[in-house]
Amino acid sequence: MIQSKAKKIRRQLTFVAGLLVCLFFVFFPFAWMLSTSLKSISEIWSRHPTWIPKNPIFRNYLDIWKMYPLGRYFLNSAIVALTTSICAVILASLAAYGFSRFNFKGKKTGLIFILMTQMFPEALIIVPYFIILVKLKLYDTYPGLIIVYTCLILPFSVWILYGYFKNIPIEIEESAILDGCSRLGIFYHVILPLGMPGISATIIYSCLLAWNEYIFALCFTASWEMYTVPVGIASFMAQYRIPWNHTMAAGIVSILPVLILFLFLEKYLIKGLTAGAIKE
Amino acid sequence: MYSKVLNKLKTKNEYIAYFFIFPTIFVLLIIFIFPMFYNIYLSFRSVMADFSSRFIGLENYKEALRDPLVWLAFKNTFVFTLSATALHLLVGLGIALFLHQSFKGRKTLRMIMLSPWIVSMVVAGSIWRWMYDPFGLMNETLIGLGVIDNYYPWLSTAHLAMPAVIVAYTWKGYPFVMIILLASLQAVPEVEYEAAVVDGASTFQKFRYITLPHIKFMFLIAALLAIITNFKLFTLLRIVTDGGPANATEVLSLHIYRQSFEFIRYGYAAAIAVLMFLVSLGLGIFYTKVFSR
Repeated sequence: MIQSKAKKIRRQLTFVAGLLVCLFFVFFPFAWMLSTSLKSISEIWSRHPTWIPKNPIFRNYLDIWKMYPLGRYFLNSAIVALTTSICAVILASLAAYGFSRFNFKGKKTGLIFILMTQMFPEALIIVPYFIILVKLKLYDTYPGLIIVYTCLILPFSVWILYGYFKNIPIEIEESAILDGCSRLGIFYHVILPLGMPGISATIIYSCLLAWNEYIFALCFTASWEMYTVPVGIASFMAQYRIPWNHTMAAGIVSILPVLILFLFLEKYLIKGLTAGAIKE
Repeated sequence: MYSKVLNKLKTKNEYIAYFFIFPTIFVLLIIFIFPMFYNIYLSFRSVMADFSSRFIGLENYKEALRDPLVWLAFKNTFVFTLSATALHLLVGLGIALFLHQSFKGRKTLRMIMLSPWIVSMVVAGSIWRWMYDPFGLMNETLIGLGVIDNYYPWLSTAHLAMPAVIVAYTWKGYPFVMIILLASLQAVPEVEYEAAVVDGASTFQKFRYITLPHIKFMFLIAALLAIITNFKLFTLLRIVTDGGPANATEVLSLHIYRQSFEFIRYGYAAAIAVLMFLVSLGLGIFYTKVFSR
């Protein structure tokens, strides 16, 4: 009896210890980011920095919008992210439906091909894309970036939706066909409503990717008017003396839209992403 | 009558299927395959800033294979990839195991542990670069704890920069592995654990003989995906060290970018990119052969 009680306490202690380690590990960069964002320039560089700023400067959060074209960066990122996710979801759900419901010649090759594209290093594509975009006059434009991002997100989207659509029981479609529904009709009336979690997951993931993407945005935009948020924030750090307080503040603000999206639809995300992974 | 409908479904299959997948495959062909071949084409040419080019055969490749910087980039890429992957797997597995227990607030904690994933590489890179600054948090904390006695210029010291970036990347990248492993842990049948407890198995034995075999497959998949991702990593390295100091963290992706957009040597960069792709392909094939499942 006493043995198991001691064991129980030990278990609880290790649990709490583990919990604290996890939380600390994840939080300390965020905490430092928040702390820095509220400091003045002189306080950042002080000899003994403190966690709690001496005089919290909330003005930093206003300054970043006034001193830098952050608003423009946000607008660009938003336009690109939303358009990309819509295009990607439309194409990917069509393809995923085709893959999940039919068996046809080249199906296996098609799926493997899609998986292979994920292995491509971006570095392999930046030079050809750059030249092609310039020649097509799509360099430094919204469509140029949207096209690139859609292709980037397409393979993964197809994969998620394929895994998800496969789990939709085929009986529903069969009864729809018996009721005289066309294939496209099935797609619209049956798959879309039932596949909503998977589709939501795809939309969130596409938005996340487009919002955070850096290398293509860096290479395919030239003027500051077309910078996306990541490129914009990186440009804060291109100055001689990096204004870390502004950089951290901008970083925090850039996380907020994603955080909101993520919090609202988190359960759809996990459900949609792991549906295909677990073999029921 | 039912079977007649099913047969009808099956015979019309092939053609309708193609209609559904055609747009996507078309897009992917145009926008993945075509640029890849165009890249190969460029690698055999000397390309000027105005995109005019002339054929020079294997000259780019010869130069790349003779360039000590390219070899250094390969070495750095390998070191980075393998170390980062190992750490990701370790940390990801540890946290997944922790989150697998049932306790109150588990869902919230899971969300919290996922948070580094939603931050962009740029923001994550900026935080860590700031923390590694000689006047930054790292030095202050470590000196305060007495671990070190002086201010270390982490990112300016050749042999410290790579580990520093790897630690930063581990913080950013472990959620990906964690989530895959968590899903696979949840697929392990509970009954086996219960039977093991009845037989008097210790925690370690339960882990070794029940957990490990069941998650082995997803673990290897996670490892493969991690290797593929880490091999081509660009943004974090660009933000935190930009290949420095003195090319200590110059990985292939960075080098290719530099050759293209800083030295304006499109053809040469294309050749290095082709080499990089071949190596990663070889790695993937090697990996699947060794762990063939």
